[in-house]
Amino acid sequence: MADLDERFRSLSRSGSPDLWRDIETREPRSGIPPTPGVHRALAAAVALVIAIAGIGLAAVTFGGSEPATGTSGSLLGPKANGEIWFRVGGGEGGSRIDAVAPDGSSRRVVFSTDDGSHRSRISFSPDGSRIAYDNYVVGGTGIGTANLDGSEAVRLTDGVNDSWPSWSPDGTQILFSSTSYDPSIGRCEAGSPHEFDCPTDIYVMDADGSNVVRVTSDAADEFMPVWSPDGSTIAFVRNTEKASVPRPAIFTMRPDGSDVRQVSSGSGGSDWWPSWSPDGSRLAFAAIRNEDWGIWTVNADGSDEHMILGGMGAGYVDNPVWSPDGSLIAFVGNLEVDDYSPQDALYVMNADGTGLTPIADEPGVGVAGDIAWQPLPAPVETVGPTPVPTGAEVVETFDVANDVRSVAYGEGSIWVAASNDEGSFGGRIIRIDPATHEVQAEIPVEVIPTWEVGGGAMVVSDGSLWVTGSLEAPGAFDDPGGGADAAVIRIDTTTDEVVQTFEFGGTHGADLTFLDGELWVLVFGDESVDQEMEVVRVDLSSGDVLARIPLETGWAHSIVGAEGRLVVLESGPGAANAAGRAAVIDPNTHAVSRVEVPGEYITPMPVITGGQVWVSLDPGFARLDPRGVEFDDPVEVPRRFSDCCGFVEADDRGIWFLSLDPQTGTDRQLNLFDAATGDVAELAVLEDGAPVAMAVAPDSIWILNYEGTLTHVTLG
Amino acid sequence: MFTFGPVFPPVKVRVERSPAGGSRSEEIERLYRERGDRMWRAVLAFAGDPEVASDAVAEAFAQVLRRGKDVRDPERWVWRAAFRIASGELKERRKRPVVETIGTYEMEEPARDLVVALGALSEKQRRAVVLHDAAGYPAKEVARIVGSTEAAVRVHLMRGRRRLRELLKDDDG
Repeated sequence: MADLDERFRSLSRSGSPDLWRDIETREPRSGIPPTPGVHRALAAAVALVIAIAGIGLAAVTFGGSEPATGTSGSLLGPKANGEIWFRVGGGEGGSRIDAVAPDGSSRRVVFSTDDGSHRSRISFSPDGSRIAYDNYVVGGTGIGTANLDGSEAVRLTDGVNDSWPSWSPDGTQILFSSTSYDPSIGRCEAGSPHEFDCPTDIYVMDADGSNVVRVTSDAADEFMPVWSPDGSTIAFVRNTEKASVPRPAIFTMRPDGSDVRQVSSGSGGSDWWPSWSPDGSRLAFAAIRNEDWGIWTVNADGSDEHMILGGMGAGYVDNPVWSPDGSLIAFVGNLEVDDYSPQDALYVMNADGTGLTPIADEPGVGVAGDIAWQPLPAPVETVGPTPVPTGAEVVETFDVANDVRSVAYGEGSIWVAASNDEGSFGGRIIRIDPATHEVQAEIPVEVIPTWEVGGGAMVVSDGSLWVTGSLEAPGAFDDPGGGADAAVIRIDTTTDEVVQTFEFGGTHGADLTFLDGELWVLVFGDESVDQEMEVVRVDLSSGDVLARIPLETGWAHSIVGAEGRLVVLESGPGAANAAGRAAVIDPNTHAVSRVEVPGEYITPMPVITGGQVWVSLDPGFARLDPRGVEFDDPVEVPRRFSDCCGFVEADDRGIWFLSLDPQTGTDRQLNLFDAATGDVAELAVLEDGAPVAMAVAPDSIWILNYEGTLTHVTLG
Repeated sequence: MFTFGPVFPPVKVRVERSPAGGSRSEEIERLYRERGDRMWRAVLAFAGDPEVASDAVAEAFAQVLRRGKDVRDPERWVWRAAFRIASGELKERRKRPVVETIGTYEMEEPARDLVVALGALSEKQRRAVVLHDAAGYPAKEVARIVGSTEAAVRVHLMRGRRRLRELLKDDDG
């Protein structure tokens, strides 16, 4: 039986009609006016004359266009993209080094024409703080290093033909090529000047210029050495033939010169200017193949060699340099004239050859290459604030269970609490895969889970799911204060088993929070039988109640811990939700301070955003300072945001809440209140269900509906 | 005299060649030549009707040709337009995709069954699956094309593929 992938492959083998003639001739149905100046016409064929010039001639004509393939990766970790440095102009004079940001902005002159020294083939040190370069100015020839502004220059070698420096990933060594007289090599016959008669070979030295070691020594030319990001391999160019027409190709070897392997085929032309991808898996290089300039990539083992840019009509493209973060490739060239020209510009493209973008030119002179891409330390990934979404999309509303009570997100799963739907004590926790919406586990529990009126009916923390609810107790279920005790259970999220059950007295339901590692439970009471609401501190191991703090209210829904305090919103007289006080509890002294809430609640739930306690009001939100036990002035929002739904959730992005969709007046709309700015982002309209609870995940919002369905909203 | 290192002998010769791409219309034709086949097959898979696929792809390209530089990302624009047009045509014809018209189109049996099964998916699932599995775009790119989020696309993909396997009674994989 065919599998799904085979069916798609089968589909890809199906023929398709050529529609181009229809496309060219058809009048679009939608009445789109033709854009002035845009018309369909076949461009006249243009025969491009390709200069009969080799790379060497190019080097002389556009002198200095050879690269510093200076995107050396590093053992020091991932890199970010800094400036791109490149040569403007060329030849024996009149050139300078410019820098530009990868998006084409912030262009500047780095080393001006009359700077007094010539820095070619620049290579950045792995930390991007220094450069290596070669200098051909008489009296200063050789490889040098300097700070980015040219200061603290150190001349490391003095060979007139020393070139192409490349830093080792750890910054301790520098590769370069040179042509030194060596009578042991046949081609290197005595004569003058020896340097130009002898083969070019690759050398390595310490970054201070000491300990120069010759890596290659044969009659072929080896040059353009570039260290692999992990330091284990050197890529370089080697002439594959010693005949009168050498064909250069990309090779690799170990840093000691052993294990030489040909990587690029050089088929039909010449390959040069290797540049490693930062992960060390691939090499980009420039080539002339079958008379076309191109930029190619190949796996480090020589497999999967293919052209990513070039071929017919591509013009002149050369000098590819992989970006430090691996996403882009910079190169020099032009897409009009198939030769070096004063129109040559600096381009970047995606590493697969798409997204071609010119970022710097120099009309009349041209960009000559010498591209070096500065590596910067990659931003440290932190578990900081999740980006604020710019949009949201309802993916699906799907069935979960009857009589659902609360929803939470954590440990990579969505957790839904429901009763057993049998009218008896007991419930179930349904674990759902957020990607597939499949049920991963259904865990029976003894408690009837609490209706989520605040965020804490379930809490996922440190490999555990904490569920609040009520256990069967003496007395009739419907008796005031009887028949049920508040309880908390702990489920191990590895085994999906209930491992602890804590019982607290009280009545139906509870809420919980953690503050500085301590578990605090808001135990629901029953005012009608003088059963007080209370906050209890619980020993996590034994479940023993370590402290009981009574509240002065007929009803409270939820408890949060922040800024070193516990906060409960006590309802007004007669358990009215509309007004009340915030009770602020010092967890050490158990002292309770109270402050009037500056307005009517939307719902009596405090939430935490940005480490601060906020309360939703009608209409708006107010921040509570638990230390000072006072509210800031409320932040008002448009009245229509207060019309609905009665529950909120929060994370570091702000306060998530529902209102009525202004278009339909009945559908629910998901919004995000930015506590820093007071702005409200209207994100998505939920067409299905009557929401009862909400869970916030980094990339999604999950809304539990009274009908027993769950609505998945993704955030963009 | 100085040199910039080893001098390679000339390797290039004079050649005649096609025009280099420059104008938007050439760009659109190039896009069609490069992507047209898989776009047509993807829209066929989406709509289940070769006539709808041809009309939607041709109409989308014709529209982007007329819009010229007003369209900043022609590829994404054409993909979205082609799906939108195909979806509109299907609704207009008041029919579910596939079945009878696909029978007139020459296609291997596994592919034919696949196209029929695709018709049973929701529009969002079908669009995500054909862009990912028939057109070969990664989920992130599918999200860019359809104007959705990667997370949503991944959900549609997983659920769509699972449903297809159920419908086709295929092996996992």
